[in-house]
Amino acid sequence: MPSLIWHIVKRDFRHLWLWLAIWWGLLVATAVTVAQFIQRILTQRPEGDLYGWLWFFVLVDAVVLMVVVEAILKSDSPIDERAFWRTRPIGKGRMLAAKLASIGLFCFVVPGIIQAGERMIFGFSMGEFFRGIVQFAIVEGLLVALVACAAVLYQRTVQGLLIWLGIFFFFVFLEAVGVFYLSNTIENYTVAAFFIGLTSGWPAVDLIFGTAFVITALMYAGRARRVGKLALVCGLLLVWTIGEYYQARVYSYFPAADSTPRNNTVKLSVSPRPETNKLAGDYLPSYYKNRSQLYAAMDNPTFPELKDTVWLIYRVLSRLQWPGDKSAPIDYDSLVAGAGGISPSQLINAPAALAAAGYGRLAWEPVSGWRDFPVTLVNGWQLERIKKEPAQITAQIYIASGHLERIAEVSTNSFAWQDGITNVDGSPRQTGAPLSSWQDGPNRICVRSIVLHDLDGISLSLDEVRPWYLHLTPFWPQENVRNSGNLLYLLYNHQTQECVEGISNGGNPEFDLAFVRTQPTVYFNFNNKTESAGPPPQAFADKKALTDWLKNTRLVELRFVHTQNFYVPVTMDAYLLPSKLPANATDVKH
Amino acid sequence: MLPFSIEIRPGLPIAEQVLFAVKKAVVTGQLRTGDKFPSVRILSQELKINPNTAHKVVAQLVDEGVLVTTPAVGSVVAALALGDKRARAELLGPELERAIVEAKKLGLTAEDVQAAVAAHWRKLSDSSKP
Amino acid sequence: MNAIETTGLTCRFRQLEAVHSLDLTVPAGSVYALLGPNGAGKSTTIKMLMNLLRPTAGTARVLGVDSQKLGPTEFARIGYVAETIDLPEWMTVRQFLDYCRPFYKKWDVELEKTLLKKFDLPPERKIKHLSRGMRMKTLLLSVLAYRPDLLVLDEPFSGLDPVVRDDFIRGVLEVSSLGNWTVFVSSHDIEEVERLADWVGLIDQGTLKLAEKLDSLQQRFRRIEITRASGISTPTRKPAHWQGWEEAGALTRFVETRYSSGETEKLCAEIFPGANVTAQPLPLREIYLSLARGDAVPEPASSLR
Repeated sequence: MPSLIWHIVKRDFRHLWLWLAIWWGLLVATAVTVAQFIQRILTQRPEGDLYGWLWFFVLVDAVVLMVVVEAILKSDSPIDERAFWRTRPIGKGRMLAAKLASIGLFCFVVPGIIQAGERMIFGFSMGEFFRGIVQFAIVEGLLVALVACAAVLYQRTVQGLLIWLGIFFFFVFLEAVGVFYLSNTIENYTVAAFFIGLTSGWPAVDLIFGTAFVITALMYAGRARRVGKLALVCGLLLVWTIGEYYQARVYSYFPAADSTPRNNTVKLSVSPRPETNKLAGDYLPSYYKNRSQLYAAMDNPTFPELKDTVWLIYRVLSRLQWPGDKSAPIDYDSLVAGAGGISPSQLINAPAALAAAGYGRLAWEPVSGWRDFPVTLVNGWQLERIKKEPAQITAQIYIASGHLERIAEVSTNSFAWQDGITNVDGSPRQTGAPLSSWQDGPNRICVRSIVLHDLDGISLSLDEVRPWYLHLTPFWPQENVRNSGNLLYLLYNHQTQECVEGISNGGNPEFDLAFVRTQPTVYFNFNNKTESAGPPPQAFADKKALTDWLKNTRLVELRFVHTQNFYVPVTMDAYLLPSKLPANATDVKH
Repeated sequence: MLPFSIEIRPGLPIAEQVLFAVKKAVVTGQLRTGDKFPSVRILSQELKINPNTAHKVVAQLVDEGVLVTTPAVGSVVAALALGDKRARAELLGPELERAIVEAKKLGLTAEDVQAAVAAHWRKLSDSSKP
Repeated sequence: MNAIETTGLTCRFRQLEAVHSLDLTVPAGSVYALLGPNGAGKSTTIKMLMNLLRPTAGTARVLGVDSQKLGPTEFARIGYVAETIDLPEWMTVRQFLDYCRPFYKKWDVELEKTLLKKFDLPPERKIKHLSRGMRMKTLLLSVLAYRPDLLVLDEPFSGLDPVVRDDFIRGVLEVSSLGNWTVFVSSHDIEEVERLADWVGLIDQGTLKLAEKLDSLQQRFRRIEITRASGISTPTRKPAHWQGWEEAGALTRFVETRYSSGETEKLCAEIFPGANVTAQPLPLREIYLSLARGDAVPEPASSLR
């Protein structure tokens, strides 16, 4: 009788509605915080406190989930001889089905719907809903499985305590295995680092288990008074929140870099080239899936004619807004590299006919005359809106080559949907394509701009490092250290703001890891494949050697990996641009 | 409530106690001929006894002719010759036995007992006179 | 058909053998009272019968089915009442009954209403706010409403006041029916049980010491009081079936466990010539005490093992 199962599910709901309401409310709050978080990234405001809140929510969600699952299972325990249902006409199989139905409905379906709503707001397509929900379900499922196992395995406190301890140490073991693997694949990654991380870097993980541990023990002991239990749980969460919040506050992000260009004697000049969309030899522009390909092509151009070409790297920071809109403007960037003779003033003065392009299609095109700069819209809503009413768009165009950079700004009040724009190969170019995956999202909406400065020093203080990028913003974790391959690192200490070591230190909340490669590697692209290019890095005897190498290397990508407490790195990009100018560089007049 | 007096004492078989009480009630006129006798269920609930026992009691009463089962109504008190002194005297049996046992303990003879009975009877009859 | 049948049922907790090789038979249609001191193994036995505990050895059959295979079909005909059952404290009485109802096809809503009134239960009060007596009545209600064929009551009266006990018994009798209605009750409370039981089992230290019809017990147990004649002293040899020997002055008392009208008096006259002999029937409580304290001499003919 499926109605019996539903009957039990209804009863479970009536029993737990308050906890469920709190938890679902938390999920909604998380979604709202995420939205705010992303907004802040885009508008370049510091979002440190939100970061802390997000982690808080995530962990409270986990704890409440465990409590809910345990309560659901404990209300009809299969091994408790005092359980009411054991002498009632319902089979164990059916009762299990009912319990799973309750867990499924309360812990997966409803949160899944909430998450789906959140994703809709960020403009994901239906395919991504499903993927997101599956991802969410997998993560939750692990927690749920753990708790369910424990809840049905034991009924006495002592057993419960032992089981939870066992689970905790099992996780420690898993992590230890990971660490040993890491220490074998990453040079100088020591096992000691892991244990340092264990004691100082894992409060959240410890706390999930600790709290659940205590809750479970109390529940099963049945001795603690209800108020006492509640007080203990709240106390633990409060302590943790304070600790986490404090760390979030202490953490200082990279301050915005100084964007005024330094004076130097080398100037950029770009000589005009005939206005043509093509280069000599009828070369058609290519599209590159990722930056590494692009840069590789820039290094070793297919056509000899392109050697010694002046490379201009354009970054466009565009801000899209509708008049009267109360929402914060969204900033986008895209990277286009081009070659050829166009004077930046021409670029600047010519009204920018802006069209959107999908992310990841980095075009190397000869630059002359008009230049289309891509603008990416965040989500499908904006796409729809822009079809109906033109938006204001402000674009800051950074043009860089060699040591120099220029910033230009262009704006128009009538950024409109452009139908009928085609790519060079004739395929229609989409305007306002929505984000195609969550992985790409933060990338797309990450704010990056670059200013070139001279490398005149030897030491790598923050001032030296920092000028190589303008503003680095942490965003969602994209990868973990395991995928990094053979790397050497710079360490940047937030407190002292110094790059101090040449050795990585994974998992330490004070330091960022910086991976230095000879060639930029993109870890994420819209196909979710990691790509890397370039020779393996060399070993450096000391900082000086590293510095020297950096001076003479083209296109080095510095990756800063931000690790907070949870051993989840976040990447930020920076680009070192060539310190040597091509021979034919000349002045550029504004 | 049951239409006859009964006080169940522990120790003695319940069935016997109920049988005795019913018969006594019939003889003393508490239960009159044609009166509806409580069903087994009511008997068991009122006396808080095992329905099997109640059933046995009713069956026995029917067997002995104290009750008669009629199709529609159920068990009904049968006609019993009220005038049968012998039957009534028989009901006094347990009380007499107890008295005799006590008398024996006290070392009295049958004649002593009879004399005592007469004396007590007079006393009780006298006190009931206005 | 037997409502309950066990063969060599044993339960062992670590070192302790709580129930040792129990052979118990509860005929269908009977009211079987399982008596015994605390810790004798009554609750353990019942839990094994209800498949709440796993027996270490032996088998039990309940309503014809192996106790370890009891399923929804059987539980729809069984009503189990015990103080240790965890009731959902957060539910009101009404919610609880509403919850139980769909599990049973035979649930009688009229009976539920009747019993609710009879038991005087406050339907809108939460279970956690009920007194112990009301809790038990609620549980009993939830078990009687579907007229189970087998009622299993584990110490149902403990800690209940006389009014509640009365309600309890009335409720149980409300659903009684002749034939296949069986009650298996374990209790200390012998007075309540005495009126209802037709079978009595005595369990002590995990072993079934006695299992006999109540009638038979009542027939063969008597308290004998002997006022010895002067000059007659205590006999040196007394029959094994005379228990609980007490003496003070000329008065000797004992419990005769094999009473037979006439025979016993003759035996007394032999051993105590010229003495004054009285034989009184014993209430079940006294019988139980005598059995619990001494070694009961079972009556082979009418007992069921």
